[in-house]
Amino acid sequence: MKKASIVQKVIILAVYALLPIIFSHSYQLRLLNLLIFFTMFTLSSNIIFGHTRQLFLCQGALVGIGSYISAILPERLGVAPWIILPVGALTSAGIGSLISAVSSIRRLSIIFMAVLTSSFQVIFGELILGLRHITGADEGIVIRSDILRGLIGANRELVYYYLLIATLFATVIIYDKIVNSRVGVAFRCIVEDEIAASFIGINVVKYKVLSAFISSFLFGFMGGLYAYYNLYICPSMFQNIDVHILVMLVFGGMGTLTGPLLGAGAFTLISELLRPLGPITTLIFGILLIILFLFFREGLVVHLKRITGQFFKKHKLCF
Amino acid sequence: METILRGESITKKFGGFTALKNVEFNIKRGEILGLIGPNGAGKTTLFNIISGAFPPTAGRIFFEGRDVTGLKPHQICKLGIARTFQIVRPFNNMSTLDNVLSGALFGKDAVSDLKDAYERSLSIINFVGLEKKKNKLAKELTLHERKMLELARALATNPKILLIDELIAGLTPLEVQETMRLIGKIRDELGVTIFWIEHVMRAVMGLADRIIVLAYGEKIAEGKPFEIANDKRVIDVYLGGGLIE
Ligand SMILES: Nc1ncnc2c1ncn2[C@@H]1O[C@H](COP(=O)(O)OP(=O)(O)OP(=O)(O)O)[C@@H](O)[C@H]1O
Ligand SMILES: [Mg+2]
Repeated sequence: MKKASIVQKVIILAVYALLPIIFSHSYQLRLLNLLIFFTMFTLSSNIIFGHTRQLFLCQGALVGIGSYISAILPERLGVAPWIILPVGALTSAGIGSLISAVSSIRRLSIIFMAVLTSSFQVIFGELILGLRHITGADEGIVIRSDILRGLIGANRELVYYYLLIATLFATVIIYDKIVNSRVGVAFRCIVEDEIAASFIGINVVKYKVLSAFISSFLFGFMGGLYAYYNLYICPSMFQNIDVHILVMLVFGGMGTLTGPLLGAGAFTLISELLRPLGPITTLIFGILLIILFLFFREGLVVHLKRITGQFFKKHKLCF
Repeated sequence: METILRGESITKKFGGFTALKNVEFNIKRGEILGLIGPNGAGKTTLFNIISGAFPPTAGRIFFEGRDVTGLKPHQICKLGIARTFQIVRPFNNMSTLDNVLSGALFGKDAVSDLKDAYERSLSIINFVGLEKKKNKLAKELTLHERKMLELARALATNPKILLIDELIAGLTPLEVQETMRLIGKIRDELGVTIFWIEHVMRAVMGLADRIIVLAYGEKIAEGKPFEIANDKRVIDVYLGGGLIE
């Protein structure tokens, strides 16, 4: 890793770690926690859509699979939640990989992939409703197992916050390693030209499935963590989040590291401001996504770099 | 000399249309074999079959004695068969260096260490004469430079045989000369066998050891350049020699 990139990460980590000093009210801490969840979802979406252009419109289902497994299994099997967490993540990863394998072996166009994955999202919703005796259908499930059971009494929101930024930073480090490795080069070639990539020895299916595996694992893992954090889940939580995640990703900047961080931050702020509007927000975000895809596909990070780059050029400064 | 690549009665049909009909070919290690023929003769289709873009309808391809028919493009590449595209397709938003690097990282004898791969890529970039453009994005290069880049990326995969699909169409006379010298160097200095499609007859005649002529999906002639130049059927196909300057 380059020195500049280490400095950058240390600064970002420091900012996150110090945020609770300013936002110490438990309502604010809850917002911060939701921010980290959405940042993680966006990072994960970045791996699959930003880096290999596989359109997964079933991100909610992949999160939900992790959530429901983590909510249901510990009590039923009598095992600790932290053992179930990776089980949920691996289940999501397996299903995500399967979807990716089918789509890339059959060379589905992005339209057909959208149809395939949103059908899966619908099936997931129906399954949750159908398995009423296990999932509680629309009423949802109250979760009694908490991974932080020993810490009850301490400031629960704050403890979760630090657990979440630890997870975020572990993810950022791993993401950085992947993107700057041979695998990252394969991803870039695939985004540029899949056909040309295959003729220089890149196994396109393998790298697409790998990206789906990593991304879906993260979705499932964060879904499980969300269940334990929120202590309650219901089906509506996993609907429509694809639009939100994609807005954060495209707005921030696909294929970059700071893009998802900025995108999720801006998104959390905006949705907090729009909250009084109720269900209309999804509509607004849908329209926003269309506008972003049409006019702002490069994302905030690229635009910021261009503006600051011009600024530094004009003033004959360099980094 | 031993055979490196052999095609056994290759037939390819697209729906009801027969693009290739029982085509046989045989390349010796270290040879430059030219492949010529009028537009739509099936030349690119033959390269697509060899490189694994799609399987033949009938027939087999043998590489170093091994049946490679129906293998996927990445598998073919890893065995040591590289290709360029008639319509260039470099990774446009990547630098020249990164384009070549990707070949070095994934082709035959793929280098897994990034540093080693960089070194190998730099030497290949020098070899094709793109050293001044190594940090430029591929989309900023001229057509000639992009063709050289495509060649460099293919060479970075460390092939035993290189399939070149029209390298000099659209180039200036000076660029044509440079490119011909380069193709000679690829064979002589890197020891890579070359199967070469080209429309510019004079270039192929000057460089190839042997030439195969395709027309309407069938092989109509095969032989040394002077034999091809005097072949009655070849002259007929090329409208009474209009194309043989
Ligand atoms: N994927 C395909 N599907 C259908 N038809 C095809 C396909 N590829 C090639 N053809 C047809 O097969 C014939 C041979 O095409 P090919 O590209 O191999 O010709 P070529 O000899 O390379 O010609 P040129 O000199 O113009 O490059 C053409 O009639 C073309 O339209
Ligand atoms: Mg052709």
